[in-house]
Amino acid sequence: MVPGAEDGRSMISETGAKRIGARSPWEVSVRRFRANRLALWSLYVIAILVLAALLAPLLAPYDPIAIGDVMATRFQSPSWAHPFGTDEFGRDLFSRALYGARVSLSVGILAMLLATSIGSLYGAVSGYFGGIVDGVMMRIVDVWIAFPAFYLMLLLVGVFEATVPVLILILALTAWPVTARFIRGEILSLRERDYVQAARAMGLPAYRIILRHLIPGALSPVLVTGALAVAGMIGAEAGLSFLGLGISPPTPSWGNMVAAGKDTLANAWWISFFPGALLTLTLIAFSLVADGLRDALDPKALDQKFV
Amino acid sequence: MILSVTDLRTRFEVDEGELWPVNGVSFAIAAGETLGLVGESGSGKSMVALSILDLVPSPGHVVSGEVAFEGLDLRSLSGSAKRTIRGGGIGMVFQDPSVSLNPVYRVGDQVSDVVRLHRGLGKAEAWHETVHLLGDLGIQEPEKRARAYPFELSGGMRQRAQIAVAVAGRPRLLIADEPTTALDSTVQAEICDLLKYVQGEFGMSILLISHDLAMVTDVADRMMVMYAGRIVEIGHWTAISREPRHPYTKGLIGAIPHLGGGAGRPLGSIPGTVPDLVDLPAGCSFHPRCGEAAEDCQAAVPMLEDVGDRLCACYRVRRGGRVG
Repeated sequence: MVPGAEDGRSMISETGAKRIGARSPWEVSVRRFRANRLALWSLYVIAILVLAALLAPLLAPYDPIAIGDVMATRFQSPSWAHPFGTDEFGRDLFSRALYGARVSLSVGILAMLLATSIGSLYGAVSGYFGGIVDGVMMRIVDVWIAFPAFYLMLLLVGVFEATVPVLILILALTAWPVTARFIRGEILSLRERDYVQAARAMGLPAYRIILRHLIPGALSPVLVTGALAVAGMIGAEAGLSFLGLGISPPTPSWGNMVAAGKDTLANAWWISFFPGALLTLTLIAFSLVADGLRDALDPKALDQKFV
Repeated sequence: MILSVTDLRTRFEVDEGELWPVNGVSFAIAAGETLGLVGESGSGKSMVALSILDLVPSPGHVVSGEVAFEGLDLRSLSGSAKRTIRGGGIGMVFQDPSVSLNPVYRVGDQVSDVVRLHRGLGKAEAWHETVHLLGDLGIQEPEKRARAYPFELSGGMRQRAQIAVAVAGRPRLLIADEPTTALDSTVQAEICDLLKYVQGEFGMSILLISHDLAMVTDVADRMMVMYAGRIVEIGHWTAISREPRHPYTKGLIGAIPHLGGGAGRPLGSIPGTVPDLVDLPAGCSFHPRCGEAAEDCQAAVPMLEDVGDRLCACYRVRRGGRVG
C-alpha cells in the first residue's frame, strides 16, 4: 500500500472541488475574446472575406479577367447587375474584388505564417542558447532590420518577377527578423522558468525543450503579433501592387485595382473605392482581432467575470 | 558509492565581485542511502544539486572538482552523455511543482515524455507505464489524472506527479530539492512517506535538500550541514541530531520548537544573519555569529576532520571531545 493512498477520499474531493470552480486558461481566454464585441465582429468579417475568397469561382458572376464588349460595358456605376460597377475594360469589379481577395489574403496570411515560423525558430534558438550564439544571431537580425524593409522589397521585386509565391517569400524575408527579435525576448524570460530548468534536469535535448516548452509558452504573444502582421503584409502587398511592382494586371489584387481607378477617380469613383474599402476593412479587422487577442490572452488581466 | 563529489567549486561572477555558493564540497552517497543536506536559505544547497547535474544558471559555472556517478566522471562527459544521466541516472524533484510542471501540458504527457526518452518505449507503452507509475505513487484514478493539466490537481497531487516525472526514467539517484517546502504540513508528511516508499520500491539513493531539520532526520540516514558554501558537519542523523558538535549545527537544532518538554523555554536562535557570499568573513565563515569563536577561527578556514563518529569543520571540536 502506498503511503497516503488510503487517504484518497479527501484528495478526490480536493481536486474535485477545484474542477468545478475553475475554467482552463483557454476557456477563460475564449470567453474574454467573445465578450469583446469589436474583436468578435472583426473575426466574423475576416471569416466572411476568407470564405468569399475561397469560394470566388462559385460566387463571382463574371469572369474577372476576360474582356467582352468593352464599349457596351465599360465604366458602369454600381447596379444590381454589377454591385461594384465595371472598369474601363468593362470587367465586373465585384468579380475582380473576389479574386483580388484571394491574392491579398493568401499573400498576407501565408507570408505571416512563413515569417512567424522562421522568426520564432530563429529567435527561440538564439534566446535559448544565449551567449555568443545569441550575440551573433542577433547582430545578423540588427543588420537585417537596419536595412529599410520597403527598399529591400522594391529591390527584390525589381530582380524577381512578382508572382504570388515570390511576393510571399519577399514579404516573409523582410518581416521575420522583427518576429525573431521579439520571440527571443520572450524566450529569454521563459527559459528561466522552473519547468524549463526541470526539463533540462530530465535530460531533454535542446530541440525538444525549444519546440515543446519554449515556443508554446510564447504562443500567445505570437498570435497577437501574427494577427497584426497579417494586416501589415496585406498593406505591403497592396502598396507594392499599387506602385505596379507587385501583382501585375490583369490578375486582380486589391492594390492594383485601386491603382487602376486612380486616374478616373473623378468620373468613376467606384473603380478605386470598393477595393480600397475592402482593404481598409480587412486591415482594421485584423488589427481589432489582434487587439482582442492581446486582451483575451493576457494572463495578468484576471477579470473575475470570466474565471 | 553511487555518487561521490570531491572538492566541488562553483563560482558566480557578479558586479559586486565573485561568489562561491559551492566552495570545496565533498561527500558521497552509497547505493540505497538517503543523505540529507540542510542549511539556511542562501547557504548553497540548491547550487550543490545544480552543480552535480551541471545545470548551474548563468553567470555561474562549476570551476573545479569531481563529480563521479557510478564511476563516471560527469564533468568530462559530452553533452548527450550528460543528458542520458540527467533523468536517466539522476532524477530531480524541484521545490514547487506548480512552477516546475509545464502548465500547458497534461501531467501524463510530461511523465511519458521522460519514459520515452530514457527507456525507449513507444507512445502507447509509455502512456501505459505512466498511468501505472502515477497509480503506484498514490494518485487516485491515474488514467483520469494523467489527462489532467497541472492546475487541475491539488498541491500534493502535483508534487506526486512531479516525483513521477523525476523517477520516470528509472534513475538510481534522486535529488529532492526542498520537496515539501511549498506544501502544507499534512501533505508534507505524505510526501516524506512517499519518498521513503519510492526509495524502497525503486532501490534508489536520495539526496534530500531541505532547511527543515525535522524532515531530514525523519527521512535521511546520514545528514550534512552546509554553511556559506561549505559543509561544516556530516554524519549519521542520530549522532548529529542528538549531539550536534559544530556550533552552527547546535544553533540549528536549538532552533527547532519542541512539543511538551521544553514549554516555557525560549526558542533558540542564531545571532546575526547569513554572511554576504561576495564578502565572506576571513577564516571560518561562521565566526562572527559563533559564541565559541576564538582568534584562530579568523585566521584560516577549518577543514572537515574526523572527530570520531562524524566529520566536523571547527577548531573548537576535536576527536572525542572539546578542547579549550
